[in-house]
Amino acid sequence: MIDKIKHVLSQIDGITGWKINEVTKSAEELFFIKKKLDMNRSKDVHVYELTIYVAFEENGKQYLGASRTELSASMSDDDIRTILEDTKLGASFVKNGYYELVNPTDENPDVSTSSFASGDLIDYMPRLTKAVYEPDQNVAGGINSCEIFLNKRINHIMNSKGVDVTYTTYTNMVEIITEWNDGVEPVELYEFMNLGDFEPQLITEKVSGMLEQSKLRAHAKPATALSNINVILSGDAVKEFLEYYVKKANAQSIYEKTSGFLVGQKLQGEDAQGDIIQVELLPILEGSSKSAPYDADGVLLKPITLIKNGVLQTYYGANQYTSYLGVATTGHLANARFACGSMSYEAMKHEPYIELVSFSNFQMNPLTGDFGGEVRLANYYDGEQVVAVTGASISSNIEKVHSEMKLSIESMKIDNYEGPKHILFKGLEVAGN
Amino acid sequence: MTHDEKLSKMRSILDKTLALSDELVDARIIYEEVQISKIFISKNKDLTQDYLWTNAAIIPIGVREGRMKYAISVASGLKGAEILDELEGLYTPAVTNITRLLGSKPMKAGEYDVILDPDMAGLVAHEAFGHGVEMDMFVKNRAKAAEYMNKEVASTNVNMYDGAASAVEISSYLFDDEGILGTDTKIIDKGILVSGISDVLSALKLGTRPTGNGKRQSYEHKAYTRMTNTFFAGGNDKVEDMIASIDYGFLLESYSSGMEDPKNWGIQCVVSRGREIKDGKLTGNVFSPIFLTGYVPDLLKSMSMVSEDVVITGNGMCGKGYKEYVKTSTGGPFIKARGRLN
Repeated sequence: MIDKIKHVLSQIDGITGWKINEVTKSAEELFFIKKKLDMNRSKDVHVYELTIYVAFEENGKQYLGASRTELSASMSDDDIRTILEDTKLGASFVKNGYYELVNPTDENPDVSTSSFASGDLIDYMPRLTKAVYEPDQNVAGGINSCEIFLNKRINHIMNSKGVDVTYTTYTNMVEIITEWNDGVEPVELYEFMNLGDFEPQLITEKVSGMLEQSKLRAHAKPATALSNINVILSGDAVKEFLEYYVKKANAQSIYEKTSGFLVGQKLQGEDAQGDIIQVELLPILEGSSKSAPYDADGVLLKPITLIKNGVLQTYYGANQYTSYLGVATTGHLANARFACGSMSYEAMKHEPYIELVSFSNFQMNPLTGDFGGEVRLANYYDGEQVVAVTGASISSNIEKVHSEMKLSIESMKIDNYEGPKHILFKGLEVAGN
Repeated sequence: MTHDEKLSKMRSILDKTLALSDELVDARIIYEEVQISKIFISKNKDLTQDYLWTNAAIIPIGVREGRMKYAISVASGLKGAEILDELEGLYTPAVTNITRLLGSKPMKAGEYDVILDPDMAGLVAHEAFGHGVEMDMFVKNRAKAAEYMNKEVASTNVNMYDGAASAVEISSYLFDDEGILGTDTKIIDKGILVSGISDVLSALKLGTRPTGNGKRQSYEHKAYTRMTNTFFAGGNDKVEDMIASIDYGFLLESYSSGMEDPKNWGIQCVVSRGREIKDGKLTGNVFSPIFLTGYVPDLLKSMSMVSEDVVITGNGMCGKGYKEYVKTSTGGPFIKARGRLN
């Protein structure tokens, strides 16, 4: 099929370059209601994602238009020709500034190894099911429903400059809904996990934690409004919050002026009193479903220090945008390791606080820095006792909190994130009933 | 209209948008045109449909004193390139909204009288009793709505619909991804919850009729119960009367996201901006960011005034939890309610 696509490409005039990503996907899927398997699915998909580049000049300025399409293995030469002609036409309208496509390299990549590679996907499904359901031993609550997906994806990337690389990624997605029924009314909690490796212990710990939190939510009191209160962010919300810095340093955001980050800038201000951000971007992070030796353009990925002592060291991102900025080609790195902070979780809890344990959907807007969400479960300490509360909400902006925030000494790993497990914000306002 | 003509129109709108304010660092003009061709063949059915939908949006991005804000103005429908003409009327208000946002103040947490604009009314409909009545959730015992069928869940001013045949918008179709003809489902009738929406398998398990709401993200995904065109019906009130009736509150305009809680009827709506109302008049002050949160029945039962005209748009994507993204449309009239803002 690739020879067929290349042959048709060679017969069409006006194509400056091309990129083919041959994607071979296989997956096993299980859908449970309570402990009963409700549906199972398997899939095998083989597609060819093709990008055509067309260079042209207008008013003395050079452009490189790009247009993407998807081809399937069953297409005839005539089908392919028709689609490629349309795709080339599309590219000729796109006025992207000119840049060079990625060149091949002889350097050896970092290689990630997932234990899913050592067997057939289907063999892992009973083991993943066991990991999910092991803690489900309670009478008053348990797993309401669960969906387990195990995906294997082989990426074969080629381009007209001679790039020809192949790598495989695995993604284990687990959607879990737990419920608890001995409170005033039945309650549930929702979590979605992405894993790049077979990590049954992590899944079991997550479900155990959710069941414990569901029980707390069932007996939680309605939250009351709090002002000037210390707020502890934990778990997934910490990842979402800190990834703001990574998104803002992306070359595309800089080029499109949706980020004002400057290399050399102290990102938390000149007189930051809290813990200082330090971030490395990595091609391979143990257990991450985003680990890859190359990015989608075929750029060989290497670790970079993005932020050191709170100072932005460089921009990073896709070849097109680093080219526009005239900075080194880093490729798009999707794993981030943040340095931990100076304060222990226990120390964060010495003064009255509210720890926001579970959100409906914690949101951090990477453009504005606004963050917040509705809280399904929180632990409120008024100086005397800790009470589980539900129905609170917070809303603020990163510029108001990041010069004084404290990062925990304790670390955690969630998919493509490694770093602090908790963040302490001083003196925020929390809405309640 | 040729590709060149479409691009020329978009570029002209971009230029006119950028010319309106020195505070804009960028503006994005989006036009999306999708041709759907579907065939469903089974022992008893031989269905085919072809239709076109389009989306268009203007997203100006502005900066003032290091503070960045954006605003989104949208148009959508079962239309063609003529939708670009609708953008001509949207770029000036879009830039006005950015100017307001750049001068916005932080919201003081509390409960306020609010007026939901049609975008926000649509989001509330979608998150509150759209996801809340997806009947695959009934099968899993995840939906509190199952206990409230034929009971009061909203004020008598509230009528709500979902259905591929309920409106002519981006999620209108002849048949769903399971070959079931699209229907017009009344979900809330004068405050009473009267119906859910369903895919085929859920209907089989529940012993109900499927409502033509079986949709899948793509051929790679399984079908779930999904919303189509979800909206509150219009009433008899005037927007100016709503504003005049408020001593202190906010006109909530547009949104960036929402989240459902079908089991416990919580709601989270991320509001783009709140325009302050004082002594029955808009003051010109704008507040952001704003989260509208609370208990769904409290919000719906507080709906006291409903304007006449309904506006429905379908520019976003709807997920089920954090996956399974499909196109839906939402909307409604202006609705006065009482909500918790933060």
